[in-house]
Amino acid sequence: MWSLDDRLLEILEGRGCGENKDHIFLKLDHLGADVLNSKLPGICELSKTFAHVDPVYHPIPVVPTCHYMMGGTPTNIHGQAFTRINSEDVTVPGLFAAGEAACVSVHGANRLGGNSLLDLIVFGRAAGTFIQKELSSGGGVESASNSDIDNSLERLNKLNESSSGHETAPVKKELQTCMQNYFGVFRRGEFMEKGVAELEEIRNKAENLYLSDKSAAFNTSRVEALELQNFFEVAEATAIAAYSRNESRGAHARDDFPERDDDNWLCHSLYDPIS
Amino acid sequence: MLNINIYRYNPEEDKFPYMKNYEIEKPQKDIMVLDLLHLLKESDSSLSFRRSCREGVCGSDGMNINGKNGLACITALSEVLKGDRIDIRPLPGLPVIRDLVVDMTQFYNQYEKIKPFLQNDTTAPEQERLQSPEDRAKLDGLYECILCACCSTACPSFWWNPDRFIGPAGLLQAYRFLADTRDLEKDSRLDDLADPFSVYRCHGIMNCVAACPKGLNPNKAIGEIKTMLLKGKNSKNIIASDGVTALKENLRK
Ligand code: SF4
Ligand code: SF4
Ligand code: FES
Repeated sequence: MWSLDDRLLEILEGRGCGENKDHIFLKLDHLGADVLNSKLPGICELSKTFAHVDPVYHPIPVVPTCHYMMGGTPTNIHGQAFTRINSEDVTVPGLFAAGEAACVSVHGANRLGGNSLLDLIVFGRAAGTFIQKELSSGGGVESASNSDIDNSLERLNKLNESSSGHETAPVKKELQTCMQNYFGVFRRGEFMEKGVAELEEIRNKAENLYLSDKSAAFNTSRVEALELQNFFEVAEATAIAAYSRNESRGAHARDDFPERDDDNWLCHSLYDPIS
Repeated sequence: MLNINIYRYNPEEDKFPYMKNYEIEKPQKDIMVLDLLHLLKESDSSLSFRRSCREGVCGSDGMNINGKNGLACITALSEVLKGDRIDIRPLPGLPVIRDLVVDMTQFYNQYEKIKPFLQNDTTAPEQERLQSPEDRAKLDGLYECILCACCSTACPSFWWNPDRFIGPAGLLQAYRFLADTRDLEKDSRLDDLADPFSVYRCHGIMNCVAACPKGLNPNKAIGEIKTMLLKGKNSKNIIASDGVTALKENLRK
């Protein structure tokens, strides 16, 4: 099996396929119709719908892309989120995460196919069981203070009161382009530096969005604006963690630091938006 | 130019729903209907629709496209355009919350009724409940359902009795558990379905089969359930009640 970077390298070095040499082909026909249709029905369906190609007979055009977050909110095996204070893990009372949103660290630096389900099912269940136990033994969450509530509503209120600012869709595109160009499958220090600087500008826009539709009923514009701000936080965490990590490991492939460096980097990167 | 008409309704502003006309340059490439909606939303941010995965997996964007229910994200414009015209409406038969967004409560209530989870109270083995490849194959054509509601909202029987007829989606799932060798509640599952409405409102109209974007066949699953009911111990009370009670119930309405 090729690694991610080999595939991208083929394209970057001009050996891609198609008119624009912008993809390569994944040939699966040697597996035969039975195996393909029984073991990879989802892949077959996607290829047919989006690439008009039946993998039983023809190769599938593919490009490497980002489709999963290996990191996430740090959690222990009960789904409890934790943070680090004075080099100690400290759980955040009442905050749980499971699945792709969490980082319970089962995937290492590169998740294997199928394991996102494992993450969801095993730790989703574990979190549920733990919460049930907590609640029935009288544990739970402290109630929120008024200032907590004000803090968490701040973002929403700002949007609801906005009378000018940036539209959501173009800022989202900008964020996507920035992440794709500078923090994609191949990473390099000088590019990422540019990217981090660009993100600073995008932050300014993402924090000042204009919501023209202020209605209450199923307002997807509002949700998309809030989502964009969440995307931004995740993008920035990814960018800064990637830029700081001077090695290659799993899906994090840097061509200026192509080797894995266990002496210095056998560790998690923890991003704290406040500090 | 594309001539696009979209069902619009915002309960805070509109007394009645209306069709809003949009015109945009026909895209060079053959795009999906969902891409088209995103293009429109860039200039009219008030347009509301559900979507998530954009690859036919999550079931969020079921809608009625030029008269046929389907998922916007895997329906190519070239498949549905009538000339240059495309009309997009919410899934029929369910209350509209806003624009293309329907209230799915009735649909989910029916789904909940069939107890869509494995029931087996024997002690779980150390690792997992195994199933032979042959038994697992019995679930093919059933487990793939993504609960998009394209089938149930295309079914006239579901339009008339959304509160009592389980509908094709729910029944496909009911059969998914009836066919599962690991499930031990076959009898009680069949008992729950053995009334004149839950299954027997299906008259084989087959709209569900035509509508399903995943190529599934709820009508066939319903046939299997009917056979199981007839063979099972609950058969008597259905045959007796189906015609007569249903007639009476309808008259009372
Ligand atoms: S076959 Fe049955 S479930 Fe399907 S559309 Fe017809 S009446 Fe409805
Ligand atoms: S059977 Fe098909 S149409 Fe019906 S809910 Fe499932 S996937 Fe959708
Ligand atoms: S967006 Fe998920 S099925 Fe269309």
